[in-house]
Formats: sequence, structure tokens, C-alpha cells
Amino acid sequence: MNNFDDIQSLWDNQNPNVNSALSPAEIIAKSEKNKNELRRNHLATITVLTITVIGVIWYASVYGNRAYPDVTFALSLMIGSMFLRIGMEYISYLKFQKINLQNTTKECFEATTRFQQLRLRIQLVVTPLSLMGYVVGFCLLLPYIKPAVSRGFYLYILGSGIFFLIFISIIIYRQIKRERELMTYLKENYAKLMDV
Amino acid sequence: MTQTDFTVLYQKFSPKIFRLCKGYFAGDLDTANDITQEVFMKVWQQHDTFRNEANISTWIYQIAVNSCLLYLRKASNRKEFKTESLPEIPDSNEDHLNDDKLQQLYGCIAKLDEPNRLIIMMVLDGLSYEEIAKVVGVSEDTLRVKIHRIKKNLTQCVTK
Repeated sequence: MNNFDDIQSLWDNQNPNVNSALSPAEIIAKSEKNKNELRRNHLATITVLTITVIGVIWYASVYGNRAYPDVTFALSLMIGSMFLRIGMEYISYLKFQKINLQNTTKECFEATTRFQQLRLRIQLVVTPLSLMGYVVGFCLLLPYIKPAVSRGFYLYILGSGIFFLIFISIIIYRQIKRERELMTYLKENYAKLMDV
Repeated sequence: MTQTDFTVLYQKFSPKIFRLCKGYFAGDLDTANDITQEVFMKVWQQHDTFRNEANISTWIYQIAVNSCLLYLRKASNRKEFKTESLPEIPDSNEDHLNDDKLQQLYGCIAKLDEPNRLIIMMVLDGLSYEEIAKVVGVSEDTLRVKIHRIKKNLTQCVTK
């Protein structure tokens, strides 16, 4: 092979190797199923989140112990932090689904980079804030838990709380590292695409 | 788009898209097959949004190229295809010499940068420069320079 024509000829004469696992009709069926599943999952997520939020608010307003406003505040902080993080994750998922594959490669790279910037912001700002809210809520609850449980069980709650904090911090760190690597990968490849 | 229209499109374009994906994913048949399926699922799901003034081939290639790029978004997927050892290309004919050459060619394509890899796959698949420029979103002049350089690099690598 001495020139590009030889490469082209070799390429043209290769066996197509098409793996016809699915027929066009099966692809259509799979595609419709996938579309319906996505719609169902989206609806289910919204329903579960809405019902849970309404349920928690209703429970707190009806049965919340007004004698211990700190407890209500601490619990609200913990639950609110979790919902904030879950909500952001869901928004991020929806944004990713909106990346239009029918655009040019250049535009697709730009949209993916914008999405990645949002992911990084979530990981660097929202996730630590949410974790902090959860930890503060947990710490506020501890003085109320202590007299209500045995010393052993209290130590167990404390220990597992600390373990959870360390474990989740490692996960967040690894996630941020991955998101940063992906950002670099996207930027490098975008530069290569535009480079002449 | 009717089911018959889709079948015609699938029969015409799926071997080309499969080959593009196979080249992009360093000859990995399973991944190429998965992405080809995914591309045609999207073609069916999004056919309402296809603007008739555009070329259908450009539209399908746009979805295919972007699907390949998004697949490598996951770090684990990127690592999978960074390997130096390429998968064996199954004996497609009696000519083992050609198989060796083909494997060498896939190896050389895999060494190219990802955007360049996709561009050369479209060149090899016979798309016009005008169509490739529309898929990628760069000017034809820029593309011409890029393709010249990629062809040179690829030829040098294959003749080594």
C-alpha cells in the first residue's frame, strides 16, 4: 500500500461484516418500546418526587412536634438537602437528553461541553452544599437522639454517620475527578476538530 | 416516514454506518453493532424533525457521528478503545494477506485523533467533501486541509 487509493481499495473490498441481529421491523419495535419506557420513567420520577415532597410537608405540618422546632428544622434540612441533590441530578439527566444529535459535530461538541460545565457546577457547588446541609441537620438531631437511645446505639449512629460522611466524600471526589477528565477530553477533541 | 421508507433507509445506510462505527471503535464488532442499532432507533424516533431541505444521508451521518462521540463520553468506554491490541478481524475471505493489511489499517485509524478518525471514516465511505463539511460543521476549505493531512498520516502509518 503506497498511496491513499490502495487504502481506499482495501477498504471498499472488505467484507461488510454486518451483524443483522435485528431486522428493520425489530428496530422500530425496540425504538417505540424505548420511547415509551423513557416517557414512563420520566412520569414515574416526577410523580414519586412530587408525592414524597407533598407527603413530607403534610406529615410535618400535621404531626410535626411543635415543642421541638429544632428537630423539625434539622429533619427539614436533611430531607431538603437530599431533594435538592436528587432534583439537580434529574435536571441534569433531562438536559443530557436534550442534546440534539441532529446538529453538526461542532455544535454537538459545544452542547456536550456546556452540559459538562453544568455537571461540574453541580458537583462543585450543589453537592457539597447539599452534603453540608445534611450533616448540619444530622448534628442538630444528635442531642435529641442521645437521651432517647442506649449509649451503644448512640455510638453506632455516630459511627455510621461519620462512616457515611467519609464514604460519600470519597465518591464526590472521584466524581469531580471524572467530570474534570471528561471536560479536558471534550476541550481537547473540540480543539482538534477546529484545528487546521 | 412509513415502515417501508425506514426499511429502505436501513438497508441502504446500515452497512455504511456499521462500517463507520467499526472503524471508529477500532474494529470492535459488538460496539459497532450496538451503536448502529442505536443510530437507527434515533432515526425512527426523530424522523419527524428531519427537514426535507437537508440531505437524508447527511442527517443520518450526523446522528451516527454524534452517537459515536457521545458513547466515548464515559471514561470506561474511552479506556476500552485506547488499547493498543486490536481485536482480531474475523477471516472474511481466503486472502489472509488482505486481512492482515486490513487489521493494520484499522490499527492506524485507531491511532488517529477521535475527530480525525470520524472524518476519515466518512471519506473512506465515499461521502463528498461538501457532505462531510455539513456533518462536521466546518468550512469545506478547512476540511480539505484536514483531510489532506489525515490521508498523509494514514498512508505513512500503513506503509511503515
